[in-house]
Amino acid sequence: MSSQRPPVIVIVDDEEMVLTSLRSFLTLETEYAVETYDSPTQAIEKIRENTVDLVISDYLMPGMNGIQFLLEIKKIRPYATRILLTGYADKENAIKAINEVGLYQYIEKPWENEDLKLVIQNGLERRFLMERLEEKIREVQHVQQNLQDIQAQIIKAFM
Amino acid sequence: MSEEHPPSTLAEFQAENARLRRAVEELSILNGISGAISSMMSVDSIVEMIVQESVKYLNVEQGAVMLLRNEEDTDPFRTVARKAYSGSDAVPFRFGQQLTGWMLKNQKPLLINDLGNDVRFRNVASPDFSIRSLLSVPLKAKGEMVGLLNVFNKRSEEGFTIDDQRLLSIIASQSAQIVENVRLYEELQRRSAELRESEAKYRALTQEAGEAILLADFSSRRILEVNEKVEPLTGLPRRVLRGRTLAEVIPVAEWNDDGTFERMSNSGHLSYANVKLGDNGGPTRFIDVSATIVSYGDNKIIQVICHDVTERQKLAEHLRDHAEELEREVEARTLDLRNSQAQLVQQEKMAALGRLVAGVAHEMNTPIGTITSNADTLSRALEKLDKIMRSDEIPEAVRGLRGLKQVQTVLEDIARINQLACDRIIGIVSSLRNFARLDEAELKTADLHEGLESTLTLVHHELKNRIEVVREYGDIPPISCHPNQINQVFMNMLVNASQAIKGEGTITIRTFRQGDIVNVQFSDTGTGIPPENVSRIFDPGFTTKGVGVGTGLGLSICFKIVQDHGGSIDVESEVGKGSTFTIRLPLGKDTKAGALR
Repeated sequence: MSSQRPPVIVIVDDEEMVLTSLRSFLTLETEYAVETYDSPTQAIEKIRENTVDLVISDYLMPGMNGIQFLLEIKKIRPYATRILLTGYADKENAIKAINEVGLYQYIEKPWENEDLKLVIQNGLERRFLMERLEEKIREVQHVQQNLQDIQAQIIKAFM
Repeated sequence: MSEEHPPSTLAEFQAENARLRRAVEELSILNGISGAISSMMSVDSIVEMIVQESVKYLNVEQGAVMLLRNEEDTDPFRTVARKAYSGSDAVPFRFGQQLTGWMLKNQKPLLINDLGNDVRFRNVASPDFSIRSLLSVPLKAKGEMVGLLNVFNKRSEEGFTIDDQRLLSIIASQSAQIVENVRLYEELQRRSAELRESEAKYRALTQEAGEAILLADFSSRRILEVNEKVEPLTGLPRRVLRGRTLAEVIPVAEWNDDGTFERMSNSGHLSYANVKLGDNGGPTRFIDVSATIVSYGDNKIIQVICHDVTERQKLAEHLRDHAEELEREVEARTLDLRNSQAQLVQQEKMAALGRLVAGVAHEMNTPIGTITSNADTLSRALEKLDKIMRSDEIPEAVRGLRGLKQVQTVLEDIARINQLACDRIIGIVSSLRNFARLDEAELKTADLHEGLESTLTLVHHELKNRIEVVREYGDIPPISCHPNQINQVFMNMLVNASQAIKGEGTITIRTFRQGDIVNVQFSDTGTGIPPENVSRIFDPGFTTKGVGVGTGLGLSICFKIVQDHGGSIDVESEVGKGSTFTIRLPLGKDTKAGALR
């Protein structure tokens, strides 16, 4: 199912230049569907309505910081991979957040395009693996349910 | 006077007899006189006896002994030591003057039996003049006239005879020497009594005065006598002091110059304050010296009074020492204060700079991240464009469009250069962050080579094209330190070195290990530091760079930082050749560096 559509990536930063820069790079180099927002609240609204596979967020933003934002995303889309894009001085906070909120990765500004690409690739892979795992679990559960149903029918039939 | 042959006639015999009797009498008189003298009578009693015996033997009304005064006098020129014996009237004054005047002038016996008619004294004679006859002989001792022996008014018709004169002369000659001797003896006794008295007075004065007193001969300047106070003062016994020169004992420099004593002779007095004794091995004392010329007869004596002011001097010195000590302490404290104030200011400045740098670096992250990313994206885009342009789908006409290839080349060049520029900016920001290292207030184990490289990046603009940096990095382990503080020291070393180099030159950075010490050496080929400034370069506020160039705090801060790390910093410099600063830092963790923050 997932391989049929391009992965959806949401990028949130209050700086237009970062958004454009990242979008340009990813559009040029990948087949991802890239959506960018300069407001975290706006991004949350859109994500509620649409599917998303990976979210990249700046740390320092007006209204809501990146960690709060990503925590919110976790609630809405638990399987989406979350990445924090942060400045050097916020490193400590970022590491803390990774542990507390369960982030996949953080990327330091200024970033290397190649690194970013790899992190996104891995993040997406993880996300789809997770999804496949879920599917398998669901399948197994489904099979189990069927088996239980059959077992019940057999028991009923014998009794 | 008498013949030597024996008497032959009665008359002669009688005469001889009379002569013998007279001789016996003479002898008895002389015996009496001698006896009196041998019993050590006074001049007065001797003279009285002479007069008594003369009056009695010569059978006269009056007798007198007149002794010459030793000292000059306005009055009769001589004085009567003992006057008349029997009889009533004294010798009239005017006549006395005439007589003594004549005797002094002629110094020989004078015999007058008819004074009233004597032409020599006629002018002074008068009707009531009671002296009719006189006999006067000089009293001579060792040929010098010392007085007169006079007898007046012979109680016989014939008057004074030549025999009388002879006898009186004998008496005179016998008594004169005796009288003189006794008189001298008495004088001597009187003088010595006087001397004893004045000496006693002087001694009382000098011994009890509490002052040390030295008496010295004026011409030789050699010490004649000292009082007992001089011994403890000089540390020399009296017998040693006697005979030494004043200048030997009391080191007044001017006393080696004879002119000083000539001046003293004129003014009579000289004084000196705080003369130091004891350089010749005695106790160290300070004295006020007062020297006075005292005339003693024809002799001149220098009297030197020494007032011991050692205690005063000690007190003054003590006060001075105390004041100096206080001053030093104040100076040291002021220096300390200035030092710590300077350091506080510098630390605050560095902290502020660090915050600023960190803030700037943070703010730059976003734009730099963007540009870097864009430059990369642009390169990739151009690559793709190139691929597309080469594909078969692009018509030959489009591929061959004039200028298209040129545009592509320009864009590729710009993308490449932009990337290089971004790399450099990223490097600088990273160095700034490393240098400030605000996040590292605690002791860290740091690689000094990294610190040196970060710092070199920051001072690049000061050095480029002008100064060659030679790295002679040795094998040194990471050390426990405050990296931001140590980087600050490196920064200072490099900036100072570059400022010392006018025009082109070389800075050599050497690192090497000696036991538990890591050495970082900065050598420049600059102007060098003059020797007189070398000891001051680590003082706060010392600068030779002029207003606006240096604060004069840099090296003092460096010194303090290195010191707080348990290390040391020193300099070798030669004017015209350059300077080498060596920083020694211990490897260990037990540094005091925490005190800085």
